[in-house]
Amino acid sequence: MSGMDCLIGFTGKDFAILAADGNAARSIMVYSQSEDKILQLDSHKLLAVGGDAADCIQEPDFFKKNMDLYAMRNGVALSTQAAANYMRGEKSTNLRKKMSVVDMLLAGYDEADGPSLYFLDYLASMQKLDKAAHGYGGFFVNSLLDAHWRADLSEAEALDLLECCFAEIKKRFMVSMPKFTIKVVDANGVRIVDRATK
Amino acid sequence: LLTPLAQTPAGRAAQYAATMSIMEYNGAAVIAMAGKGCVAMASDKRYGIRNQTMGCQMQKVFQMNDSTLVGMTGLATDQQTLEQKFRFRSNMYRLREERDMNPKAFANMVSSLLYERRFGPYFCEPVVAGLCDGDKPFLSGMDLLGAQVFTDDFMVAGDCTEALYGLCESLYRPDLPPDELFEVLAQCLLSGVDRDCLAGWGAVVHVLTPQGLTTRHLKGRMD
Repeated sequence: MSGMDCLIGFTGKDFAILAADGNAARSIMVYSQSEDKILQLDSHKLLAVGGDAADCIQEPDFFKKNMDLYAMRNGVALSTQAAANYMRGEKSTNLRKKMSVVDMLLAGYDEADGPSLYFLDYLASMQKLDKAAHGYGGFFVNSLLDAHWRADLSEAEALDLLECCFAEIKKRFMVSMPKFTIKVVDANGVRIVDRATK
Repeated sequence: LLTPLAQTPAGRAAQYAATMSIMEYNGAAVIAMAGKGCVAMASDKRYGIRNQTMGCQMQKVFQMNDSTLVGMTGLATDQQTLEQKFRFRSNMYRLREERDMNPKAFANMVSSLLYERRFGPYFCEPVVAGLCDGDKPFLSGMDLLGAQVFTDDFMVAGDCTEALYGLCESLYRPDLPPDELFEVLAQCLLSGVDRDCLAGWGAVVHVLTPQGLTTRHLKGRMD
């Protein structure tokens, strides 16, 4: 349950974008406001994670290492769909053994399928979605995404939509989230982008 | 039963959230009906987490072979895990026996798979519908432990079974041809989920005849 971790993601025309807040906190204390919660899994995949702090380091790392091993053994990286299903399978196997509380958003770009976004719950339910959000921030942001998202968003429009989301969180969510990390994955790979300035 | 902490609205909400049934965590509705030489199964398409809807394209009814459909309600992660386990068992049977598993055998397999986990169950209540011997409708529903019940008219599962039972009881007629069965089933599901805030957001109806499977997606109230 990624309550305080706000993860937002959606697909655009030929890219997928993920945004995550920068707060690392426990109870009332914020340890850091420039935490990077979006992990790069391989050249064309990003994973935003939220939930238990320790599990959010350990579980994605385990997935990344196994995906790297697959790529080394087989000479080809997993597709985004395959990676999502692999992660869901591992999470569901661990669900009744050593469950880790990690909510995930997997964004990837495949030559065949284009950009895609997979929403993974900490209980290992998975859906391929166009737009998604985790955490309390999601309560504020889901309806904005419903209203303003389109399938053919350009990167500039996507960043504007994210600013709209961040403004809503800033105004209405009681937890202060001054910094957000935004990363984009497209045909050329993964890159960090800056927030849109007015 | 409110604890002292739950005297405020926020406290009551927290207590409700803490004691919410695991079967209602995601929300779903499935109905299966028997017609003349055909069966049909319909489900809603909501993917939600507690009171929040995350997506509206979730598949809850799966075709296991030419003569069997299985629809699942309950916890979404277990729905997805069980779909994979059912498909594995069904395919392994096909490879070993060189014939498809008939719906009755499939339902028995599902039942014993669920009961294997008697003291730590999968939180899923499946409905199996199929055609035995080519065109004899077969319906079976079970609870999360695998207790089967067989009917020859309709079977419902999900969060809003009371509403679905009422509609099916009044609208269902025996020996309907596939097109009319589709109409009746669609109306039952669309109206039934209107009374449930955890199911709905679209519907999909599958009609299985000896000739094949027809799937229709329905537009419903998106609330």
